[in-house]
This record gives sequence, C-alpha cells and structure tokens, in this order.
Amino acid sequence: MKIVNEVVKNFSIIFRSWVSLVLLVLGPLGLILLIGFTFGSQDIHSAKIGMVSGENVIPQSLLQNLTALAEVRQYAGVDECITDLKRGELHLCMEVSGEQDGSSALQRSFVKFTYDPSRAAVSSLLIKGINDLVGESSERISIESTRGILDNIQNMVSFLADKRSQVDDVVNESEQIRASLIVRRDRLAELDANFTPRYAEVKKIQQELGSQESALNSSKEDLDKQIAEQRAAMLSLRSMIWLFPSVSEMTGIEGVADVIIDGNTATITLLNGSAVVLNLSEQQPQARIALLLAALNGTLSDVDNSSAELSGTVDDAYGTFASSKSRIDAAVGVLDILNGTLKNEIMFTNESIMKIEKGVSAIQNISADLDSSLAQFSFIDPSTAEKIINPLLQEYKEVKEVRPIQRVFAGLLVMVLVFITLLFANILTLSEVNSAAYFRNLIAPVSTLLSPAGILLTNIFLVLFQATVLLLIAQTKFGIPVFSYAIEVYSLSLLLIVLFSLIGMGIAYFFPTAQTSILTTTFLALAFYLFSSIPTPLELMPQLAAALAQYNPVVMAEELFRKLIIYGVSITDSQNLLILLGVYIIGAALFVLAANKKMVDRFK
Amino acid sequence: MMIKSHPSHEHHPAAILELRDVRKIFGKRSVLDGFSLDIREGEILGIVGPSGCGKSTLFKILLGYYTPTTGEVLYKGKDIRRNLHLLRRAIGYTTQDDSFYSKLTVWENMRYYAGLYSVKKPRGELKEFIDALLEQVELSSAKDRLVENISGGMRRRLNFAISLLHDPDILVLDEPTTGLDPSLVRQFWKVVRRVASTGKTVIITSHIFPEVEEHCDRVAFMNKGKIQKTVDVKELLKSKRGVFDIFEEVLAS
Repeated sequence: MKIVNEVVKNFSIIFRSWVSLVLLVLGPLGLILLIGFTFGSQDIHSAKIGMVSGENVIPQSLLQNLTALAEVRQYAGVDECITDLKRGELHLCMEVSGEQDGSSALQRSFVKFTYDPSRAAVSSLLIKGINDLVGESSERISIESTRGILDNIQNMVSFLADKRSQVDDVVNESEQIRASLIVRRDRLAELDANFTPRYAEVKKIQQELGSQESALNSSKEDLDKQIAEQRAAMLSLRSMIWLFPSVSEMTGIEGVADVIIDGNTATITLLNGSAVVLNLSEQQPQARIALLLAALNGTLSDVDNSSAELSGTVDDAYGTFASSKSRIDAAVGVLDILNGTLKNEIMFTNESIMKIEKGVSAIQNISADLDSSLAQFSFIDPSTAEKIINPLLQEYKEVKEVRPIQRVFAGLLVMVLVFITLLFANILTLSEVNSAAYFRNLIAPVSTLLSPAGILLTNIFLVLFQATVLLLIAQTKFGIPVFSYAIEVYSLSLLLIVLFSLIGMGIAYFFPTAQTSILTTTFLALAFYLFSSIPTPLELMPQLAAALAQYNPVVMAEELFRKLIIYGVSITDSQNLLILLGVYIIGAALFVLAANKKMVDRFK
Repeated sequence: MMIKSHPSHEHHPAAILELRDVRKIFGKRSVLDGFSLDIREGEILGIVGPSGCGKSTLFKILLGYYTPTTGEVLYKGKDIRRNLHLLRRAIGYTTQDDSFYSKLTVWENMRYYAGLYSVKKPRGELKEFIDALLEQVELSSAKDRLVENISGGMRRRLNFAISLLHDPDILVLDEPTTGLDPSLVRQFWKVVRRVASTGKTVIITSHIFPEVEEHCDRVAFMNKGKIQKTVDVKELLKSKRGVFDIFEEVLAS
C-alpha cells in the first residue's frame, strides 16, 4: 500500500498546482489536438500554378479544371514564371505547347512541369491533381476521336457477334438438315432393303418370262406351221371334194347352206335358214356321197375355221403374252431406273450428310475462332478511351537540382535554431533567476533590464556559434552554399535567435521553477514545429490551420531561408515577413519585460 | 529607555540615513507600522527583534528594493525614491545566505560584481584592488577556487567582500554569522571591525545578542512592525543590563 500512498501523494501535488496540471495533463492534450488540427486534411489548397502557353493551346475546359484545382496565373514567358516559382509565389510552372496532327483533328500537347524540389510534397500532389483533373479535360478531343474509333470497332464486333449468331442459326439449320437427311437416308435404306429382294424377284420373273417367250415363240411357230400345213391339206381335200357334184345337183335341193350328218340323218340347212332332213339310206349313193362330201366339206370348213380360229387365238394369246411381257419389261425397266435412283439417292444422301457434317465442322471451327476473336475484342468500350489515350506528353523538371539534404536544410536550420535558442535562453534565464546571486543583482545600482539583456546577448552569441558550426557543416559537408549568402543568413538567424531567446527568457521569468519552465518551453517548441510547414506543407493543412500557421515564425523563417539558400532569393524580397518578425520580436520583448517585472516583484 | 548619545560620536554625527514615519502595507497587512529612525554615519547599528517583526522589509526599504507605502527614507538628506541609484551605490549588502555564483571562482565573482557595481579602475589596478580586498577578508588563498568548493566561512567572507567591492558608505549585514562556528564568527567580526574602522556605517541584524553587545554601538529593538526602542550599547552595559533584557521588555510591551 506504500506505493498507492506514493501515487496519491504525486497526484495530490500535480493537481494542487494549476501550472503542473496544465503542463502534465492539458499540455500533452493540447499538443495532440494541435496535431489533429494541423494534420486534419490531405486536400491541397491555396496552390498557385503559373501557366506558360501559346494561344489556343489550352482548351477553355482545361483552364476551368485547373482553376478549380489552383489559382492559375498566366505568364508570357517561362523565365518570369520560374522567377516567381523561386520566390515562392508559385508551386508549379506549367509550360504547355501544342502540336496539331495534320492528318486528323487530334492535337497532342506537351506539358513541361517545372517544380520546386524543396516543396516536392505539394508539387507532386499538384501534378497528380493536374493529371487527374486537367489531363482528363485536355485529352477530351483525342478521347472523342478514339471513342469514335472504338465505337466503330465495337459496332464491328457487334456485327460479327450478330453474324456469329446467324452462323449458329445456319449450323443449327444444317444440323437439322443433316438429321433430316439421315432420317431420309435411313428410310431410303429401309426402302432399298425392302425393294431390292422384290426387284430381284421381278428381274428373275422377267428372265423367266424371257425364257418362256422364247419357248412360246418356238411352239407358236411350230403350231402355225402345223395349222398351215393342216389347212393346206384340208384345202386340198376340199378342192377335191369340190370336184364332186353338189348336193343341189344330187338332191335337187337348192340354196343349201350347210349339211350335217348325224348317223344316218343328214340335216341340210338352207340359206333362208330352213332345214331339210334327209335319210341317207334313202338317198342315192351319189346323193349320199354328195351329202357326205358336203357334210365333210362343212366339217373341213369348220376344222379350217377352227384352225384359223385356233391360230388366231394362239396369235391373240401370244400377242397378249408378248404385250404383257413387253409391259413387264417396261415395268422392270422402270424398276431398274427406280433401283438405280434409289441407290443413287442413298449414295447422294450419304454424300450430302457427309458434306453437311464437314461443312458444320468447318463452320464450328470458324465459330470458335470468331468466339476467340470476339472475346479479345469484348474489352473494347468507348468509355475506356480515356484509359488508353494520353495525348499529354509530360516532362518533369526541378527548377533547380538540389540534393535531399538541401531540400530540408532550411527547415533543419530553423528547427535547430528554434530549439537551441528556446532551450538555451530558458535554461540560462532559469539558472540566473534561481541563482543565489539574483537578489544581490536586483539591488545592484544597475537597471533590472541589464540581466535580461546580458542573457539575451549571451544566448545570441551561444546560438550563433552553434549556428555557425551547423552552417560550416552545411557548406563543407553538404555542399550547400550558405556562406554565399552569409550576411543574410546571419541576419535572419539573428532575428530568429533574438525572437526565440526572448520567448525562452519570458517563459523562464514567468515560470521560474525549472521543470515547469523547461517543460513549457519544450511544449512550445514542439507546438512551433508541429504547427509549421516542416512536418507538413501549409497547403495540405486544413485551411483554417494553414491560415493561422502562415504566421508561425518558424514557417516564415523556413520560407525565407529556403528561398535564400536554394534559389538565392534575398530575404529583403519578403519585407512583409521581416516586418512581421520584427513585430514578433517587439511583442516578445514586451513579454520579457512584463515577465521580468513579475520575476523582480517576486521578492517583494 | 532611549539612549540618544553615542560614546564614539559625542556630537551626534549627522544621520546618513533617515527614516521618517515609514509604513509598508501589503494588501491589507501592515508590515511596517510607521516609525522613524536615524542611522548615523560611522556607527554600527544592530537591529534585533523576533522573527516576523518586519526586519527583512525594513532592510529591503533600506536597500531601495521596496518603496515605503507612506513616509520617506533620506540618504544624506535626499529622498531615495528620486535618488535610488545613489542609495544603491552607497549600500553594500551581505545576506545571511550565499549571494554569488557558485559556478564561478572567488576571483571571478569579485570581478563580475566589480563590473556590476561599476568599480572604475584601470585593469591592473582592479586586479590589485580585488586581490587586496580578498586579502582583507582572508580569501587570497581561495581566490581561484570554485565557490561551490569553498567552506561556509569562506562564503560568508566572500559575501562580505562582494558587498565591499564598490566601497559603500553603508554596510547592511543580515545575520552574517548565523550557522558559523565560533572561530569563524570571530574571524568575521574581525574583518567587519576592520572595515568599520574606516568610517563606514554598519547595519546588522543578529539573534546572537552577545555579539551585538560586543560589536554594535547602538541597538534598535523592533517588534510588531516598529522600532520600539534604540539603546546605546555602552550605556546599556554600564547600567548592568543586557540586550536580552531590553529585548524581553520590548516583547512584553
């Protein structure tokens, strides 16, 4: 519990004094808030760009964009622009020149950025901003053209995609045709399978008919010969019969048309259709012979007629056969054609299927190639024109080549001077006011200002010595030509040393307790540093912070040293800053007077 | 009992310092309550009184550090408010604590204060002057030593030597022997007596009454912001009484 006792005691002491409370609790909080206030933004503001360009080189829209980003000042020549850049009145010089491409409406611009390397943070952000904002605008013309080209490409791609779709339709249609052809081929094959055996059978029948026809022809010729021979014989016989008397002559019956013998009866048919029946036995032998010959003649006539009729019938039958065979031959001929046609159709269908398959395969290969090409072109979008076009050819150039140490040396010098001066002055004053001799000095027959003046001078000599060492290192080790501007460097250093000596002394007189005073001084030095352009450029601070920080003597001194050491810009060029530093010194001196009086009165 | 006469100054030498109805009020608190005192040229005046009686405030008025709220202080007949510089040149002050720079040597301190008090002497003579002064306070052997390394007695003598640098008419010694051993006290008084013998006025405060009786010509008794009584030491001693007796009387009153 002893440790708790210690802690309670310490807190009691801390919270008893408002000074320690402020320093130990509110001081750090204040610094944190100051950091938040100072580093609360990364947006650039109050930037100034010098524009050097010929007429009509910069489109109006580009200028408007630039104006939104920074204050744009037009310069007739680059030298004037760079002079102002060195004087710190500009952050960037943009030298813009244009080149018209005769073959198209495209214009290519060359932009040469000249920037201050000692303020590279702001310059680089500014250039980035220009590329983001201004570049987009200035590229508009070329982008529009490119967009047109890309539009055309995209239309072509769309056209190809459309045709690709039609190719798909064709392929689908071909596939359907192919499927139909396969069905048809299968049907033809089926038909052929059914047709061919029957066709073979018909062909066989035809062959058999042909054989039969030959046999029939031979038979018919024999029959015709035999009938002819028979009829010739009968004619001869009948000719002999006709040599005998006629019936009419034997019988006296006239108009005999026909005699039929049936046994012993002869039936004579007359021409008028009546018939006379005679008994042969009752007839004379001659009459009977005449009747028998007449009946024989009639029979022979009937046989002849029958032979003729048979011959006709055979001829008819033969004709019918021949006609049928001829028709069969004709039908077989058709079947032959049909068979050939069927075979041809099947073969043709197969060939068509194969051709379609080959064609579809070829189209599918082409489609695949087309798909690949379309995929490659699919990224093309007119809106990407901005991404692939950069008509601004840019060149970056430091207004003066300086090494990194040169860039930061001004800030380094100022902070060394500020910290050393503040702390030296504070500690020196503290050692004086807390020395045993202080009261004796107060009652000495001298002004009470003698001691502060002595401390001030001592501090000036002390810090000037330190500064000289630093400047010697800068000159010899870093190659920074500080002694080329020795008078101005020392003058400005002196102003700074006087100012911060007075501040350090004032704090010591105001807070004569060593730890309180040194802590206050350290906090103040930190505040001067944090609220300056050394850790972050003013242009990147929030505007309110930047507006206040520009009056920070650290900021003012850093700017004066930077311009002097890097660009040789005389400090008298910034008379306002020098006057303001003078005002600060007067204010600090008044503060020291007041604090010293408070200190002197402490013994009363 | 007010003893006005001084054995060594039968004709009551002129007052070098005159306090006329001096009052000092801080806020509503009256520290000095209106009194008058003449301090004679060449005398050794002891001022005694209890703690908080206003001695330090009186000294600061004598040193010109404080201005009286009312009343006036005259140095050789001149109001010090208008002749403060004159008064400060005329007074040498030895505090009861160290009042010099401990990081300087004895000689460096002397040289610094010689400059501060505008001791105008040619360079060689200034050195001889400082050396002589250090010899006088018996600090020659320590003149090149850092003050922080010398003894307490040496520091008191250095304090005294510094207050003598500008050859003041008046020496104000604020409890100069407090904390010193008897031999150092004797040594110190020896120096004071030697200086006083040159005609300088010495004003001294002390709680050591025997040394007041031994070395002072007069003693002013102070209480409740006023000089209650001033006595001639020799007269006092002749009356078989001592400073302590009067001190008790003053307190009792």
